[in-house]
Amino acid sequence: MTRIVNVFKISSFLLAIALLSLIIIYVKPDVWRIEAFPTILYDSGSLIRYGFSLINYYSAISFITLFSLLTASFNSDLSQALTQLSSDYYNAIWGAQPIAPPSLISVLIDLYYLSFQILLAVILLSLVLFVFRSRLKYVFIIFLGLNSIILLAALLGNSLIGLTSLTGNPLIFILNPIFLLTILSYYYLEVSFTYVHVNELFKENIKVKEEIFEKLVDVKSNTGDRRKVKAGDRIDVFKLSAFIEKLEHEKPSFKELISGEFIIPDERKLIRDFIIKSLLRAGLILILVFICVNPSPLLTLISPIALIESVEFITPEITIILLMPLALLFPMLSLIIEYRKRNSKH
Amino acid sequence: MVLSGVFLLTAGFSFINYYMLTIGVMLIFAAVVNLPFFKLKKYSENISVERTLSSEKVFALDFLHVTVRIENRGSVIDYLEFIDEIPKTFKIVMGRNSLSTYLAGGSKIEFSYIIQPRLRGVYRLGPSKITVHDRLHLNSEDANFENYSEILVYPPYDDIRRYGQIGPRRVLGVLFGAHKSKDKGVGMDFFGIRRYDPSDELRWVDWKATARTGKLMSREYETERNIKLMILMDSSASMCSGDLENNKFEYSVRAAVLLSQIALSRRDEIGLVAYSSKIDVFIEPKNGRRQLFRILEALARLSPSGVSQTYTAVQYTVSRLRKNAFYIMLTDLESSAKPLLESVKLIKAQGSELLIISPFTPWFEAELYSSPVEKALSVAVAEELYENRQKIIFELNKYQIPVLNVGPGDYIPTVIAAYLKAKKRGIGIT
Repeated sequence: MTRIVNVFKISSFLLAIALLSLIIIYVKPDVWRIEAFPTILYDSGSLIRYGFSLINYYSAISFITLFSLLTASFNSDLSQALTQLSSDYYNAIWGAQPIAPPSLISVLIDLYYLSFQILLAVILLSLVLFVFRSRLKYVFIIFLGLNSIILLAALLGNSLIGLTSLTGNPLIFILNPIFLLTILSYYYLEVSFTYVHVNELFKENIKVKEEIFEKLVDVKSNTGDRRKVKAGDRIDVFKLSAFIEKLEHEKPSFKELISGEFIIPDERKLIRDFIIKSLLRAGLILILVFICVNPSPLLTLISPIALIESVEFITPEITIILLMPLALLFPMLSLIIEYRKRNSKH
Repeated sequence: MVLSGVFLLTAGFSFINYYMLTIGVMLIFAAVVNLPFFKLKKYSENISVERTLSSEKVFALDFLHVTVRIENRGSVIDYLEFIDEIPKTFKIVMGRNSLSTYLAGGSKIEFSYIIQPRLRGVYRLGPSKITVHDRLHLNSEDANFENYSEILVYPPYDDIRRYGQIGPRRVLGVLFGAHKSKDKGVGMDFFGIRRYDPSDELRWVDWKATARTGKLMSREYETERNIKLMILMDSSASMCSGDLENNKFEYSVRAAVLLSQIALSRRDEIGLVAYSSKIDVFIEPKNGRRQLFRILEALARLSPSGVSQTYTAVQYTVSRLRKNAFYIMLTDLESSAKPLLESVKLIKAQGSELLIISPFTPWFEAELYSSPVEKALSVAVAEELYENRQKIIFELNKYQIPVLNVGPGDYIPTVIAAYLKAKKRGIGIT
């Protein structure tokens, strides 16, 4: 019954784990600093302490200055004694006047390393939540979290992937770890979306089916009561039960019809359809991706030599030249098809 | 998805990272690549929806089984949403009229639901609406199937059923006196045995009873006196003010149905005139089982509208019925008095009797007001209505026309009691 749902769920989970493992492999091990968390805690404590010391220091200084001014005119000894007392009190508490703040750069660096741990925790938590709750938002959190790890690593040169361009023949592209990660990412999204979609369809239909079966039994068991009328909705259960019995007699498939048993999708057809469609989609998308990230073969044919030999041609931004028209081609085509369909209807 | 793609793409540009660039491009294509393929498919043309009803005519508060079959002659549909529209006065008592499913190419699905019409009338089931979504819910296509199924809903049969249970047992209650309406003395049906009266014919003497009791005893027979009954039903818009299911008109319909059933079961002739600005229904008084269905069908199709033109209706009816009859008028008396008084004169001139049973509007709307302000306002309106009504009743009393004010609780019993009384008195004998 829910075998197919479980297949998709397990596949999605395994793909997420595979992606996570590969991402961890493709960032420098240095980023996983366990001490980042206690250091940031210590830095935060230092910052709070520094803030308080500043408040205390300046309030004590203000107090002493004011009191010295008031007492200096008639009792200089008292003024001196008070000044001494205040500075002793401050030194006893804070040590220095005022204490030194933690270095901003070290706090930021600690925060940077802590971010990896936070992202990892969020990904793992979302993975667990996804297993139990099956919401699409967890898929996005996991996917964006994984890519954010690479992004953060790339920020300080800790990434080990995507450092060289993908220009060359398709074989270079296929053998590149980027290809593996891209195809895994695509299938992770595809399988997870399908899982959420299938889960919704199956669970909802099965839940409704069970509810209707329960109601059916409930109605039929009330036949012994004499014209038991449900409060509020004016339904004569006795009459309804008689009607249902008549239908059961006339239509052998009545129970399946009323419970919506025939609505529940066919597992085999669904799996077959998923495999064929996802392979076709993945193939098309990977070809398009290859054309965009490796534009030289196509642009050599259609662009002037000045462009091909320019410095811009070796920058990543060259991707835009083919990405924009190709990505806009699909919505444009769909608009044209819709327009033609509408016109043919009229 | 597109936004995430753009974000990763720009991050790829910023950090000169080809992984992020590739993932960004992949996400953008994954979001758009399906669009033209989805649009190319003609989902609505390839789907057919067929609805089958257990019956096209049904009594209100009875049940109807609806079976829906959806066939997909085209390619696979990743996500299909379907809803079979039902009228607002219908209630789903079992099953569901909507679904979401995956529909493989060339497959068909079938499901059903049971509905209960709450109110008499002519209704249409449909249209069926479908929405086809793609896998990511980025695209959708809507289609309406104008596959209407007409259903005629008769007034509720429950009153008749209840009467059927009470009648044979002749219990005391609202129908008390039903058995008293027979004409004792002559006829074919045996009534009882009593002491011999010198005026009795000798053939009536029951010798067995005489031998048993030692006194001269006579047999007594009885016969039905058939009367001609005409229901004049006001079907103007004012009759349906208030709650949709429990307004004056719906009560009048229920009373008319039950009255017809009782009268027909006693072989009386009964007819119906429903009038508003025009004569909506005219059914000549007749007896027999078919007459009940004629009346039921006419009542099912009635829809109150306009203002009541009582005089026109009565004039037409009197001209069609040559012989005298017993008229029971069901009206809220919210139209002007003059045409009504003129109508009374016509009926009286024919030698017929008229009884007006009038549902009093505020009694039917009492439960609708919840706030104290609304209640106070309704009391003020009720007083004004009552004054106007009293004036009309005063005028009618001059012609010895009885008017019975009724509310939801006593409407039907009052109508039945009036019929039984007329029957007993022999008003409108054919």
